[in-house]
Parts: sequence; structure tokens; C-alpha cells
Amino acid sequence: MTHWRAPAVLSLAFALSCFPHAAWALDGVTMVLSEEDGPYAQVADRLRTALSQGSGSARPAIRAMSLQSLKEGEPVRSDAGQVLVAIGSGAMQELAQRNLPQPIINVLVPRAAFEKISRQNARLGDHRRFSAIYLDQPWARQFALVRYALPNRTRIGILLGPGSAESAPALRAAAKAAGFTAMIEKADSETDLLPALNRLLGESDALLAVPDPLIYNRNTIQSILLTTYHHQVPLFGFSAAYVRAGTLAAVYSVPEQIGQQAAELIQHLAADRNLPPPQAPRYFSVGINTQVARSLGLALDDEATLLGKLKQIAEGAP
Amino acid sequence: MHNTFSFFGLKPGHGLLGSTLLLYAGLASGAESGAYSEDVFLDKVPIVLSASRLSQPVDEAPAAVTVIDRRMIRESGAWNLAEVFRLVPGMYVAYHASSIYTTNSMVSYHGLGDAYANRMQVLVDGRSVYSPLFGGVLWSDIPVALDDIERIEVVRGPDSASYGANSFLGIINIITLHSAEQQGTSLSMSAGRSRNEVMMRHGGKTDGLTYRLTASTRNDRGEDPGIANPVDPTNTWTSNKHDDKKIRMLTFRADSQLNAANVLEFQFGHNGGDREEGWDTDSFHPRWKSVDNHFELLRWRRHLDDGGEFSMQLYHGYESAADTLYPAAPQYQGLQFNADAVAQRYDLEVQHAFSPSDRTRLVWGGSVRRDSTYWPLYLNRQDAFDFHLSRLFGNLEWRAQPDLLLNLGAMAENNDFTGTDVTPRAAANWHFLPGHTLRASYSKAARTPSLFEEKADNRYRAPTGAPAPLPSQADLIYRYATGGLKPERITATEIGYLGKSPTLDLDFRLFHDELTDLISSFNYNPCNPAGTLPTVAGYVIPPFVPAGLTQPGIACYGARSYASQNTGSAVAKGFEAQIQWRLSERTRLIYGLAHTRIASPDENGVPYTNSAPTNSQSLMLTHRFDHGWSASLMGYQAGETHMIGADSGANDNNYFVASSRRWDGRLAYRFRSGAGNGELALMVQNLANARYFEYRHDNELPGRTAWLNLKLDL
Repeated sequence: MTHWRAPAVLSLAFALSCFPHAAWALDGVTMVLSEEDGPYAQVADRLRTALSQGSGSARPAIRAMSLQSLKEGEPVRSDAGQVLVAIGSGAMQELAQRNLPQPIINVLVPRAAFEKISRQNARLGDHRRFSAIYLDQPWARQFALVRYALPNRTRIGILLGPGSAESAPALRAAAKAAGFTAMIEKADSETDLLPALNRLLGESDALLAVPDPLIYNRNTIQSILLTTYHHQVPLFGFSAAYVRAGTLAAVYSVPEQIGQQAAELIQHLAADRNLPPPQAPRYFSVGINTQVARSLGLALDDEATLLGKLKQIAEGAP
Repeated sequence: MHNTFSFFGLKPGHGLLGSTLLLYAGLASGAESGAYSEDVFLDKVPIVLSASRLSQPVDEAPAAVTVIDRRMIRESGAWNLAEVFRLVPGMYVAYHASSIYTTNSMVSYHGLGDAYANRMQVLVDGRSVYSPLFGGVLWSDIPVALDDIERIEVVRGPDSASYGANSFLGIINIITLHSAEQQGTSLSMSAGRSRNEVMMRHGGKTDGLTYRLTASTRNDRGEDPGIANPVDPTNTWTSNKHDDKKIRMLTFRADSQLNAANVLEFQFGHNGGDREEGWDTDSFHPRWKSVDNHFELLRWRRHLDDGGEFSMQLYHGYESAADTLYPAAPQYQGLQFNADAVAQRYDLEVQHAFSPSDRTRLVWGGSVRRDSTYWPLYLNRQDAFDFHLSRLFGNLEWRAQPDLLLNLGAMAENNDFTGTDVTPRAAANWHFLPGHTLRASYSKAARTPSLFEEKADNRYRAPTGAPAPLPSQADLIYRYATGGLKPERITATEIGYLGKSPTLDLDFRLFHDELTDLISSFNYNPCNPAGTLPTVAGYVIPPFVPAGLTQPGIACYGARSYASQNTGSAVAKGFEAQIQWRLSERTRLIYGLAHTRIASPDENGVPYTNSAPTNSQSLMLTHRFDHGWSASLMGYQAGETHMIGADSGANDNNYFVASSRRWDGRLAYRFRSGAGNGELALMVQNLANARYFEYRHDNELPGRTAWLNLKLDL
């Protein structure tokens, strides 16, 4: 992964050297992968590597299974010393339903998905046994990127769909805290999308993409990117793929970074194996589409500089 | 990554492909599972804003560029495409000009334009609409709806390295909206003095494919029939040209995302209908001709892993007119001449863009073209004439320093008329302070003689009406090309300054264009080339007619006939400025100024010297009021001119078309309609009802003209 940044690796090495491995009260870690390949496997790989790099004798046994084989009846060990890692929402949903005694760390899941499934399975207040590392970046971090990339913009347009509409108050507050005014438009269906976007573009200095699959998907991204580009309004995305596709910039975590954080979370566990509250990604990358920046006539700091500035910000609540 | 497979004890055969399919199945289900899946973060999305879709910022372009965006086009209240170019500094736009083959506008830059102004390249989505016949462009015959245009980039100066053959005095590069941007159905209706139009557009999509279809029908009654305010008392003409137009248009564009890396684009367009032509004073009666133009274009783009792009485009253009000429002179009553024209262009181009290093970017490619033209009236042949052109081009962009950008480009072209030619270009852009850029550029370009200039044989076989000893028939030869022309050449040097601040964009440049081998008409009598043959009242009669010039037994007359030659030369210099000033969030002022001086010996009596107004300016002020109201005011002013080919007679060679000033206005109200917007707009051209002339003094623009336009998203 090209987005893996050297500073993150260094901080990891530093972190690892500080932890007393004796604190590990684990016999084993079982990872359940929603899909066998792709980003799920990348998370699993990194988690496995990071955990096995720990010195000493207390390395937990690491096991991986696919959601498919779990559903087909492959047993999950229920020993007291086990921790489960659900990689992706599919695995999260399956494990949440099973009412297992082991603590479950859900990774590579959006915050909305975690909250919904927690609610559905009555595990909402139970973070000690059912917690997560979100895939979403905290709003504050995203607004900070806009601020550092484009210091003079004040009105940030945000297009929300049915799946993200409830984030509006939180977005408004986060925008305000960052010194922005959030201009929010809602699109309830795909036919609403372009008209809502056009209304938004008329009053925004920049656009922040909030991951809602009705708004942002492979079929809509073309219209959105072309339209925002022609209005000369820069769009901030939420993944490396969106930066490649043509958003100006994005802050995002790649699967390896999530895997790393999961490994560290496990290494931190106290003897009671109680999990910490759900947390935002600790390791992240900044991507810039320099061609788009140039075409829009924007002089941005480079990726490393912007990343450095974002890292200096104290992590707020996700 | 594949070592992870061992975790699962995968069955043989369940390898990469199976996993990939699984992954894609997962991605495809993403949109359905609502907000509650990570797919939206992990989805592979296609590259949309690739380098070829992105426009180069004006301060990094190797030439002076004026960008006219969609909003400017709309707010300018332009009725047709040519009018938009009044907003470009140094451009001269005349409503229409000549009586044969063009019921049309002329658009010229830095002068030197006649009715067929053919010294600029014009591209629509990478497809050249530069006519194979006279050169130049038939502005009202292009299959492109004004409302489908995303932006127009006007390169002020030659740039054949980037835009190909005949990118001579300038390039007009029209880019239409991607079909993904025009989804839904909309309707536009216009009605007003001398004009009405209905346009309907539908944009839709299926998985991975978006398309739009635009259909319109326009009736344009053009100028007033009579001249109300003749400027020149020596001119006894009283009527304007017959210029009514019925324009039927249908355009289609589909963009297909084959997969993350490959994009396919298809376009089809048709522009047809009847057009009126001719003056009452012409040798031929005014008439209706029937135009039928269409094109098909296929483009494939492939994004390469190294960030580069490969593209291939193939198009076919078909430009035709069915026209019959009926002579007005009494002795020719009953005769008719076939003025049909069919020009077909096939063009294949490949292009590869990539970055050889961090600081360089290279675009290179090649193309082949065939123009096949059936044009019996002007070629004196009943079959089509084929013309071939091939070219190689390349441009290297090198960021030598963070604040210094160098461009080095060249094109090598080979064509049937003038052989092989190489035209280079070099430019440096220095951002000496943030927001301030100096640009210096030097470029050479060539213009290939048009088919008309190189091959014309325009004759009218008719009874002479004269007494014996003339035979009963004679060929009246009006034009007989001697061939062997060289390309016209330009060497352009310029220094420009570009300033950019949050509220003001300023572009100023000094230019110096040296033009040589300019092609112009001269009197040439093919019937009596050396002036030694016996003539009877100007006719050369058999057996003295030069061999092969006419059929046996047919006389030849050519006392007022013409041929083309490379005799002209000119130096054009001056300055241009354009300002875009955002006075407030709601108010924008766009201003253009050009000062052009042409020095030329005016070889052959061709008035190069006065073919551009010395001073011209344009202004556009727009403001958005509350509650959906907006207004714009445009002003255009051009100094006096004497255009090439615009003489009205032998005694009238020193006249000028007086300077003109015109104000246009637009008032619009925007409201919600359907899923989108509606707009009702009132356009008024020539607010002050000024009576003035363009191009020539028998071409008087209508007075105040107003129309209403209603646009609705359905």
C-alpha cells in the first residue's frame, strides 16, 4: 500500500517498545473476515504481523476464518482467553447476533453501521464486550483538512442522503467548531441528486463528501465530480479511490492502518480483557490529486505537510 | 497478499478469480445495504477527472487563452454560437457575409478574414469542423446545441502542436458537457422578433452508461429585408441578404464506463434544414438551399497504471448542401447550375499522455485524415476529390523550477497539397510572485491552402448571346486555380502577464505576428494566359482555346476570372487585455480590450491593413439579485474596418464600415421546476436600436431584437 506512511510506522515502533507484554492476558485472537480477500485480508495481514512482532513468550495464537465458514458451522473457540475481531460489517452483524461471551472488536466498519447493529442487538452500552475502530474519520479531522488545504474557504457544502441525514446536527456543530458554516442539502433519491448538488454548488466554497452510498457510488461519482469541477468548487473525498477519481483531497485510513490500530488495541488490553470505547482511526493518510489542484489553480501543501498538521491536532470525539 | 489464502484452506480452483468475483459481488451490493456498510469507503470508483478532462489553468497554458464558460454563454444572451466570440479580445464577429455557400457569420481573429474566415481552427470535442471546402467554419451548420456546451477555450495565437493543422491565428476549442451532467428531461422554448426555437433534452443512464439526447428546431428570420440606414451614399443597394434559416438539430452523446480504467464515448449529431441565400442584386436569384450535416464519433480512453492515459478517436463528418443556382441575367433565363456540395471527413487519432519523470509530462500522438469532397460547381468534376493528411505531434511540459514551467512542442504534417512541414512552439511561464505570472512564447504554424484555393475550377457553361463568329456555347470561367500553392506561414511572438487574486483576474499581452505567403485572389485569365491568343470581345474561340481547358468547340471567357497565389504578407502587432473582476459575491464584470495594428503592402489590392478594427472592446456585467432574479448587460464596440472580399464594386475600394457600438441586455428569473430549476429570461439585443453594419456596407444588422426564453426541468 503506497499510502502507508513512514511516520506512522515509526510511531508504531515507538509504541510497541513501550508496552509491557506481560499485560497480555490472551490465549488467542480469532479474526472473522467478511470477505476472504481485498481490504479484509489486508486488515488481517497487518494485524497478524503486528501481533506476532511482539517479543517475549506471551504472543497470542492468531486464527482467521471467513464469514462464510463461520456461517457454515465452523466453531468459534469460546475459551475465556479469546478475543474476536470482526473485520467488516458482515462479520460484525453475524458475531453480534451470536451472543458470544468473548469481547468483540469490530474493525473496518463505519460508525453508522456499528451503531445500528449495536442497537439491533442490544449491545449499545456494552463497549467493554462490543467495541469498534471506526472507518470514518472524525468530522473535526476532515474539517481541519479543508482548513489547512484551503485557508480562505468558509462555506462548506455537504450533500446528505437518507442514510446520513441524521448526521446533520453533528456536522453543523463540527463545522462551526472549525470556523466553517456548513451548507447542507438533502437528496432523498438519485433523481434529486444533481438538482440538490447544483443548489449546493451555488452557495459553497468547497464540498465535503460524507460517505452515504446513495450519494456516493460508482454510478453517481461521475456526475458529482464533473459537476463540482465545472463549478470550480473543490470536493473533499473520503478514500484513496476518490482522490484518484478526481476529488481534490481526502483524509482516510487504509486497511493496514486499521489493522495496526486493532493490533495495538489488543496489545493494550488489561487482564480483564475489557475493551475501550469505540474509537476513531488513529493512523491515517492524506491524499491529494495534484492534477485537480493544479487545474483549479489551487496551491496546496503537499501530502506529508498536511498529514503532519492533522496529526498535531488532538483527536476529538469521533 | 495472497498468502492469506492459506488461512482458509481454499479449495483448488478457488483462486484469484473467484475471490475477485466475491469482492465485486460485495461491492455491487453496497448501494442497496444503505449507509450500514463499509463498501462506500472501499468501493473502487472510476477515474473521472483524468488529465484529458481537466483544463490547464490559464496561467500555465503555453498560449493566451480566453475561457468562455457555460454561465457566460447563458448570461451573454447569445442566440447563436458565433455571437459568443464577441467576448474574446481581438475577435471580430460579423453576422454574415457572403452569398454562396454561407448563410452565416464570420468570426476572425487579428483580422485577415474574408467571408469564409479560414485562418482559425475550430474543434468540437476534439473533432475538427474546419470545412474542407473553403476552409473556415459554417457556424450555423455545426451540430452542437449552445446549451450542451460546457466551455469554450479560445487559444489566441497559433498552436498546431496541440490542436493540429490550420491552428493558425487562433483555435476555438468547444467542449460539450459530459452526459452524466445532463440527467433528466428539460425543455426550452424561445420566441421573439424574427426568431423562435423549441429544444428538448433527455439525459438518462443504465448501469455504467450515461447518455443524453438533445433535439431542437429553430426558425430564424435573420435580418430585416431592407437596409434602413445606408452608411455609404455611393452604395445604391437597398436590400439586406436573404438569410432565413430553419435549423433542425439532433445530437446524442453516450459515455460508457467499461471498467475502472476504460471509458468509451460515442457521439452523433445532425444539423439540417433549409437556409435562404443570396442578395437581390446577385447574379443568381435568392433561393433556399437544403443543408444536411451529420457526424459520428467514437473515442476510447484508457487510464494507465502510471497515471498516464491512452486515447483513440475516430470520427466521420458529413457536410452537405443541396443548392441550385438560377441566373438572374435575362440572357441566361432558364439555365440552372448544380451547386451541391458533399464533404466527408474521416479522421483517426491516437494519443498517449504520461509523465516520464516527476517534473515532466509528455503528450504525443498521431493522426490520419481523408477529406473526400464532391463539389461540381467549384471543382468542375463529377466525382469526389480526395485529400489526405497525416501528422505527428508532441508536447513536453517541464517544470524546471517550482515557479517555472516550460513547454516545448512540435507538429509534423504531411498533406497532398503542400507536402511535409514541421511547426514548433516554445513557451515559458514564470510565476514570479504568487498570483503573478509572466509568459513568453514563440510559435510557428502553417495553414494549408483550402480545396477552393488549390483546386477551384468554377465555370458556367452558357449560350453567349453574342453574334457570330462565336459558337453557340462558351464556358464563363470565374475561377481557375493554378495549383502549386505553398502553405501560409505565421511566426508569432508574445509576452504576457497574468495576475490572479481572489477578486480579480487580469490577462495582458503584447503580440507580434509575422505572416507570409498569405493566399489571395488575383486576376487570371486561363483562356488567354499569356495574352497572345486572338479574342473576340473577350472570348477566346476554338481553335485558340488552350488545350484541355474546355470541351472541343466550346469558347472560353475569363476576363474577370481569378486564381489564388501566395503573395500576401502582413505584420500584426498590438496588445490585448482581459479582466474578470468579481466585484462581490453576486456581481461580476468581464472586460476585453484589443488594439491591433496590421502593417502590410496590401499586395494585390487586398486590404490586409484594415481587416481588423484598430480598437475593439467588450464588456459584460452580471448581477444576481434576491429571489432568483439576475441581470446582465453587455456592450460591444469595434472600430472601422475594411474587410477582405467586402468591396461592393470597382469604384468603391476605399470605403470603411464605420465603427459600431451595441448594447445587449438580459433579465432572468429562476425558480424551482420539477426536480430542478426553471428560468424565464428576456433577452434584448441592440438595446439602443443602433443601426450599424458589419463586415460590409450592404449588411445591416437588425435594430433592437428581443425574445423570451423559458427553460424547465421536467
